[in-house]
Amino acid sequence: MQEHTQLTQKQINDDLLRSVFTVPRWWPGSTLILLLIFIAGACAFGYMINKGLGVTGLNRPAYWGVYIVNFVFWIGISHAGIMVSAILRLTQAEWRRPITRAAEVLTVFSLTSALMAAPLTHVGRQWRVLYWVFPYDFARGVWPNVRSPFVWDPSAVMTYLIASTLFVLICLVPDLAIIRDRSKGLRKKIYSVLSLGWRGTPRQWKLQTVAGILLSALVLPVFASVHSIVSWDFAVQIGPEAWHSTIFAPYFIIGAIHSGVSAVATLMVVMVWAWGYKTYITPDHLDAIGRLLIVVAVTWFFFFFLEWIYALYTLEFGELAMRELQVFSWPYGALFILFLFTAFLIPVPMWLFRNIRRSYLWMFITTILVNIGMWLERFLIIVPGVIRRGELMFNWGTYHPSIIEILMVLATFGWMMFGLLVFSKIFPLVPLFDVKEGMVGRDEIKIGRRTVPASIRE
Amino acid sequence: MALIPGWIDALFPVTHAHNSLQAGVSIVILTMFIMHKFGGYKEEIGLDQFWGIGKLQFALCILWFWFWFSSFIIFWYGAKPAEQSVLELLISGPYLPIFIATFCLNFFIPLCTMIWNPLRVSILGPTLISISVLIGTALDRIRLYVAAYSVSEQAPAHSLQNIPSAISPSTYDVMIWVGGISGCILVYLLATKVFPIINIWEQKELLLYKYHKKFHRTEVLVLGKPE
Repeated sequence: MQEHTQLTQKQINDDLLRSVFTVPRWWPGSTLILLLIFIAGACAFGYMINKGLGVTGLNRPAYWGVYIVNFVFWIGISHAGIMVSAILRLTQAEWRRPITRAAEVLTVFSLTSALMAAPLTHVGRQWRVLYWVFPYDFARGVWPNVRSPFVWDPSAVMTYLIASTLFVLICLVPDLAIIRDRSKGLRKKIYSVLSLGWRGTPRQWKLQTVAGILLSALVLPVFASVHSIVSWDFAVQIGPEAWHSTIFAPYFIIGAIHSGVSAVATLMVVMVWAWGYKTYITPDHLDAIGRLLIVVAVTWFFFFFLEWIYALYTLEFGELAMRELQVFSWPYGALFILFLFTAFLIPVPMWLFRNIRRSYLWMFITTILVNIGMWLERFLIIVPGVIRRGELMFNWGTYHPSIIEILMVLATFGWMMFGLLVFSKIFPLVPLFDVKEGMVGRDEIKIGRRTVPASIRE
Repeated sequence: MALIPGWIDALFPVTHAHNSLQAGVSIVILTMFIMHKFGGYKEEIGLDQFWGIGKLQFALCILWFWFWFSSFIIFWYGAKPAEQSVLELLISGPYLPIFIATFCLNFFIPLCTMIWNPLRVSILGPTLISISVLIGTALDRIRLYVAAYSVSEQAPAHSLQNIPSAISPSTYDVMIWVGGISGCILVYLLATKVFPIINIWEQKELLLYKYHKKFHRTEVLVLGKPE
């Protein structure tokens, strides 16, 4: 049975704005550590620009390494916001209310981490990225190949980033007005500008609601296209075996949802532990996201199974050799086992138990495991794909990420968490208006001797 | 998984499941319309039901394009000779009219029409689109089964040498097809004579779980959600 705690509007304002008006004790230290990690990555990036890509572990034929793994991973995490916010909003799932903003913000910072992971670092000579926008040397007919998903990538990711940022901003406006009304001096002026003259009139509420629903619906095709295009970066290539598969787009998307929703569940637990939102994010919410995760994980595993069964059944030499490299050779074999256990075999059976789904600690551990597994999954698709000895190949071997790459990978994690912490200091991480709307729309129906929770349908 | 051109495709099971779901939802809408119009179930099957299932149908029509494009781009961009021949066989070759019809009926027409609120939020709109989707799905099945299976060569499926011409159904084929569909409808109609076509207990349950109440200046629906 769902626990319903009826709170007053003042109580909600006081609870959820505490993080904005006061500084939690752990906040400065954590933020500083994350900032230092990010700066370390930025220094590594500067060193790489100065010395060139030779300071990384990239070589012939391992032309793609952890930068691209990280790019795909962060694009995957960015699917959290839309899955939780847009889809659950359209399907009117009530339990979404306290976690939508955290999921949307996670999307925005993951996307910036993704942009940092590939276009900024991987391309080697960053200033040449401009040539993709302004084609160079066109007198000799040198143009970017507009049919290539590589050229679609920046447009898709930037569209997704803009749409997600708009989504966050539109849902923030009513809450910003509350902060404005409680602030003084310069802070009041800043929040006055940010809240766009919000007065809470019926017309403003109507426009805000319509904008939210429209953005939810419009962002869905963008959400699908972003990871599809990322998957086609690999799948349209005919070189590396195991990449040229039609299933890649849906397989990548469901994998992204798997890691993204897991990241939201992790964040939910962190919000309870760090900010003390126990009244708002209850075991019921974890139970609901746990059930969603079971469905998503099983669907992901179905796609994983399809990808493998079609690869093995064809009995083509290249495919079999590639799978052998992924599963039976060191260190990929060990990583493959670790990936299977962390992404599916440990968490999913555990989520079948209600007590696990309702436990903050266990949900934290299992969802972290999922993301370790999903990072490894991308690594195992990309690195063995490029290092396998193919026909007419004069050089092959293995790939070891250098300290420069490791620092830059850590920097993307540091940046994402740093962004979240800074955001939580400026804006409320739980949407006040959404929680209040949920309270207002909540009801109960008495049937016989039972009381059934009910809500107003939008 | 059979060695038939166009069938060795890891996305094939998912595409098939999706197409079946799309056709399944369409046949449900068509049945709902008949029950609403001629079965005397106007109270039980109303605009709310059509609106709800219409949204699902719209989403499935968009998904049709995504699944098709996910397969298409891999073959088109890969451009191996074998892949080009599969595209020619199933899309641009002798079955081009069938493909265009499928594309329009399953995706393009639903997209252009269902995006329009007055049509989606109606009883007739989703019904007409259902007919379009059902015809489109039947044609798509012809394209995938007849075209792919009409390859007579014994050569490995990946290296198609000649693209066979389209096969037209004979009178017997059409009669068997029409008979199959009629048989299905007959069994369904007989079943409706024996069993109630709407779950009575579920209708009663719904009456317990929902009520309307005044909320500010409007009236809203409150729906109970038991665990």
